[in-house]
Amino acid sequence: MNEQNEQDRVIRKWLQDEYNSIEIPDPSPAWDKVRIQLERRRRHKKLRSRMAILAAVVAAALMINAAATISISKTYAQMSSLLQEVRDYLVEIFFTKEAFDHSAAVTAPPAPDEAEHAALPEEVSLEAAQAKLGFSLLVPAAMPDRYSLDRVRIFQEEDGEYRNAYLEYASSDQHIVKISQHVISPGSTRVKSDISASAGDIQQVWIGGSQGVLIIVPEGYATLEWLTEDGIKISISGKLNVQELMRVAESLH
Amino acid sequence: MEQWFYLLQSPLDELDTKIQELVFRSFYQFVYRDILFMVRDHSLAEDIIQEAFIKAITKGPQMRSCANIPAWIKQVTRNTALDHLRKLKRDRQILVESFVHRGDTAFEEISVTSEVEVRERDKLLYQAMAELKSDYRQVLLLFYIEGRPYRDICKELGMSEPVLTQRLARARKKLLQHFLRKWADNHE
Repeated sequence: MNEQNEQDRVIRKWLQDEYNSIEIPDPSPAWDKVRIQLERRRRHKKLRSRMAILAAVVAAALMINAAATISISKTYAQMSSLLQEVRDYLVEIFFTKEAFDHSAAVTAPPAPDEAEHAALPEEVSLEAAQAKLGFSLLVPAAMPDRYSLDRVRIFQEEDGEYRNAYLEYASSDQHIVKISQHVISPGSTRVKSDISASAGDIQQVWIGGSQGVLIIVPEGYATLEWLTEDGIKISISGKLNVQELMRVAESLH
Repeated sequence: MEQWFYLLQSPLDELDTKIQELVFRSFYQFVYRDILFMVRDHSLAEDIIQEAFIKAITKGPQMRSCANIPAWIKQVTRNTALDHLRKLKRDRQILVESFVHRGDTAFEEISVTSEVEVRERDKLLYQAMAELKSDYRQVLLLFYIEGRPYRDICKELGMSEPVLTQRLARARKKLLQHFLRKWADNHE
């Protein structure tokens, strides 16, 4: 046993001497490789976060579209086009009345940007807008007192019809609330909204009987978009808290 | 406990690059000897340390606040080393030859003093260690270098005390056999 213990002692000393004699080299080359891995991990983490927001927005958009088309197959048919439109930090929500089937079209549809910029803006009074627009212009009855109507713009499209309207409300401290209204008629090109993928909190809400997308950003701004039963895409955005925003939306008449 | 251990419990990906570098360098210094002791190859040791570091910073934030972080780091790194060794199924003969070559070069430079014999002993011991199976090196490290009790070692390796006793005995026996053969060869 003593011999065993002695052997143990010797081995322990030898091994500890050998262990302690190991020189630890400069870790700089290893750090250079690890630094690159850490940067890659950070990029992947950012991408995963954006994709999570995108998934939430896509889900919300699908629900809006489902309400508009009342057809699950058409809803899912548009999902791929929705995803294809994601660019860098922007997520585009599409509001449509029916699926796009271009196979029978003689002329190719215009690119989305071209369609949007085709209309000419006119600044008019509220009464003139109500007279010219091809739909009933909705006006809020419950705008916060600090805001007053500052500007009304309507857009005439190539066919001479007015299908777009913007109401701008301004406050004394120069904040603006915008209410846009856009008719989506059957067969029209896609109407879309751009939302930053890092915008903030995205929620589904109900306005009357219609589902909408509410986006709350940290700086006190919020945007609400939905499609009414009459096929009008409405968007309200500006420096409003959620309660004010919902009251404005529900008071539109 | 040093500050950098606690930093492993934070999401290191989100911290400043300088802090990340500090933690990595400290991690490297902390585990290098253990890993080289086990794998006997500097390049492999570096690969293992890098991989173990990434594992540590991934799992670190999930650790309980009362966890024994240093022990956990060593365990993660050792397990990573074992995974590598098993994956590589490295030929021990290749390792031995590379170390023998190094030993010969060092031996030529040595003058005859008692310190020389000590150095020679260490060199031969190093070579003898390289000839051992990685499982044997692991138990030698845990028992003789870290001084861990049998119970702790059994828990970490998932084996019973009789099995550990047997493995340690075989590891000692093999180490001495290799070492004594080399010593005898060198003094013929």
